[in-house]
Amino acid sequence: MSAVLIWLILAPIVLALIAALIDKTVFRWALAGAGSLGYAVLVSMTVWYVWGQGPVHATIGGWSVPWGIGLRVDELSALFYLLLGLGLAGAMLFIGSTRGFNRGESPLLFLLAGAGAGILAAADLFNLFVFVELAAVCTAALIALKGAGPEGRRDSGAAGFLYLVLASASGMILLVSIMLIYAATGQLNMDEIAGRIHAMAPLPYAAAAAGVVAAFGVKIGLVPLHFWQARAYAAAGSAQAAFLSGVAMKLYLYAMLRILGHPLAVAQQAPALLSALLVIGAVNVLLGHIMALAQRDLRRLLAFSSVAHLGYILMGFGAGTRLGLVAAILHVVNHVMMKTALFWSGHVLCRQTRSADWRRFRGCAEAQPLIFAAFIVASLAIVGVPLTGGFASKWLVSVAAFEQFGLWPVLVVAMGTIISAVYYARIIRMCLGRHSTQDQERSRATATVTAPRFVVAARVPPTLAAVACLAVGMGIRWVLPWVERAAGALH
Amino acid sequence: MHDRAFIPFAEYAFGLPTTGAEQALFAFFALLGLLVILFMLPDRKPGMLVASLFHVTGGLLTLAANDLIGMLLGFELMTFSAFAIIIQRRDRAALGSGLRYIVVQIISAGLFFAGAVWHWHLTGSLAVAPAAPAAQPLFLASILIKTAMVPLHFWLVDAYPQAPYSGGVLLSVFTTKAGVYAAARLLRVGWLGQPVVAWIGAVVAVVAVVGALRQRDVRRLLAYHIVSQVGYMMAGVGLAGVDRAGDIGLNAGLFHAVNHIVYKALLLMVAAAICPLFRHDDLYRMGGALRRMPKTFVIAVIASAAIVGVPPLSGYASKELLKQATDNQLMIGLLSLASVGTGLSFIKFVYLIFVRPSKEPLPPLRDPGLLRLTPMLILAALCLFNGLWPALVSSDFAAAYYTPKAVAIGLLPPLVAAGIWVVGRRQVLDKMPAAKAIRWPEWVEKKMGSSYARLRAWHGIHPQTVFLALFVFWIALALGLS
Repeated sequence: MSAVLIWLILAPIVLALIAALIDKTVFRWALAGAGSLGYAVLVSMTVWYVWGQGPVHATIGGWSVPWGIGLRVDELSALFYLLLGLGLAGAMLFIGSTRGFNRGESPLLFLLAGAGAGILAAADLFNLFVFVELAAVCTAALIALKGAGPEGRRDSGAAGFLYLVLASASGMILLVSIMLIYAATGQLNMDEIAGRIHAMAPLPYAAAAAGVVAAFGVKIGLVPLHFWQARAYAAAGSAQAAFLSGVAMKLYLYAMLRILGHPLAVAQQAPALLSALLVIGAVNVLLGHIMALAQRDLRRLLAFSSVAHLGYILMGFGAGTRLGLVAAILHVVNHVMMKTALFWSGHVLCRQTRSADWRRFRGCAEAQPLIFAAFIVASLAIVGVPLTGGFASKWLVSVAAFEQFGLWPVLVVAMGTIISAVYYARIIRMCLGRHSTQDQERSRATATVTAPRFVVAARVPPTLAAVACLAVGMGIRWVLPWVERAAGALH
Repeated sequence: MHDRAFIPFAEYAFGLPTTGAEQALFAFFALLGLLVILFMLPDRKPGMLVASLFHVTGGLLTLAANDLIGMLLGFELMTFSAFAIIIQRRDRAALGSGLRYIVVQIISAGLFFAGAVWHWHLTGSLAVAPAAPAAQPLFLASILIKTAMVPLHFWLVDAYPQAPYSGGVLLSVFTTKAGVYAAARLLRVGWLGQPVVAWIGAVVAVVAVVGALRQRDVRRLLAYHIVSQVGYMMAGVGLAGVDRAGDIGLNAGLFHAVNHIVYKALLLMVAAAICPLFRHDDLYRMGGALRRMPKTFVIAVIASAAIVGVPPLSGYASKELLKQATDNQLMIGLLSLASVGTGLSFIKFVYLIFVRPSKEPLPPLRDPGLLRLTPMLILAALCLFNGLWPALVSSDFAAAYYTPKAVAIGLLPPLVAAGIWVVGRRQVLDKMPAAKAIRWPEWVEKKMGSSYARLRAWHGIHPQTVFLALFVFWIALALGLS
């Protein structure tokens, strides 16, 4: 089994190298599809094994743990592996079937997935740091990539550069934090650190913990550090933003929860940090939703919505209880599905109207009924209507936060729900509108290209993701035990 | 506090309500759903039919829910299916009203959600029962929106007239009455020893009637009367906050809801039968329908008499029970005043549509076909049935409905209304400026525009600033923690 752990990381990287060598569109498509599906199968089998047999450990190069490189997959990382594998397969199928890959796109996605697999499996802080940096470079390249393509935008280069600069800064802070921890404990392995962390002096400990929050805060979009996201997602395009916001962001989130929860043991050492995270989470919720309300570009709107939903996750984590952690992880799972479904169906709607501005979505409901239905289901879930997964996790977050902090976090959650209902309802209302005859004549006069045709495969990933949003909510009694086991690995 | 939270949809259950009036409301919800959907069939709008089925399901689920989350699920089902019904016409006005409708309902649901969390925290139970005192204000706010109590009524009078005629009939039945049911099960507000909800209801009953008297549009008029009648119901169920006879109040409020959905659906069906023939909704341009639509006329008179509370009809019975529930003369006075206004309004309604000769050339008018007439006749019969045998419908209290004194007092408001009509018909008809609709989302956005500009400017900051922010953030967190 330990060999499989290594291949979980190596397989996407090897696939990335092969994909980079292929020039012919058909082969690139075939490799992306077959490779990502195969990877999803590999991941699912690993997850199955971990859930049945317990955590798996591996060391590389024959050196035992305090010195060698350790890998570990437990229930928590298994859950995130599942999200990564399915998200990657979905992204590959969707991008391949809607607009085809830009040059370099599928290798970068594979490489990002490999880096993500490394983040999930790393058992020591230095490996974690290396993979985080690799992922940052891939992300920056993915954001900037569109500038090179035929439908490129000038902003994507600048947005990618901005992300690169910020990611380097955050990497530096992460490195300093790791150095502080290493100086105090003499260890990089997480389990070893966990045994000695109580002896660490308060000031270095606080600096290290705050550094971890700040470093990953940039990547996940913690409120004062979130402003790059909307710009980057708009530049990357909704098909890639679905992967960046839906899946890649969760990997950093995993790393943050893992470091804070297990080796640093903030619940015992610095409960104040958890309260601070809850407050920042509430700010995220409000600011994210309010800014989303003002957006006209659908991709920017969804980017701010993901800032808000990070807030819900942090509110659950910040409650500091087992229930709060379960709520946070459940919301991670839900958000992956909701946000990918929204980005993908939104991508089809954008291409249908040849505009990312949702105010021009009039007539989409008739042109793309299935995709529109998926969009509606995903927005119901993300608003948090009962019967969907979104409601279940918001309910748990609210209950967990209430037990620690009283009514105000619940009011924040309710407020966020209301604001998000406004902006999703506005988009749906616009899609339902009919073209006036004047509009039709004008578009007939100016249109040089006909509306894009989509292959059937392009409709599958958004629909499946939307169905998953519903399935998680309705089958919550079967989903929740898994999430509880995942939370148990950390708490 | 609790080691495990309630898991939505894993631990809930549905079941029939237990008391007689609640069961009656459930049965009438089901019956009305069936009849209105029959009434809808000639429209041939499959999308609206599907939405209507969801709407009826939502209404029944709300009544059948054993826990607050199930109730919330019912509310949300009703909200989204109502949105689908309202926007059927797909034009700007309908879409705008639908958007406002959904936003207001989500605000109500959000407050309900927060209340449920609090209630769960305090009691460890989500069973549908009178809410914990601390959570009452949240539920109160949620239910006042849901039941469209003035000044929170704008969504109702704005949205219902936008729906297709038959869709509007369906909307009038469920949402507000489900809100009344929630009030009956959850709210026990007795601040300062006063039944606050009952006072709100009584005042709204009067105010909304005044609003109704100012309308020209048939369905806006009927929508204002929904608000007013829901005021009666809230006056009944609100009594449970303090009154020793609170149970009679609950019974009376729910019984009034049962009667109201029957006659209000009937009145809207009359509107649905007439307005499409005239091709407009303006009361003042109608007239002279009596000779060509005699059956519709009889039905309209029965329904109007029922809503006004003329003795052998259903409205009389529930209003009589309502009067027996309280001995506060001021509240009874307010409700009687509202009855006078209702009487005036419906004399005007019948007069303008059927009696007064039309000033414009008459369109080809005729009674609706059998498929539409059958539900209307059944409902008219129910108006009579509920009035003659009220004890069969709301069976919990053996009240004496038809004492000579009660009948005399019940006859008084319609007679006063008729008197006012005879004396001052010109005054009533001509002093009718159309009320202006409130379009608040636009207003909010205009007000918030400048702060948005500032927020947006903040999002355009340079990387250098960000470095600074990053380090300050880090150091501040570290100092705060150590």
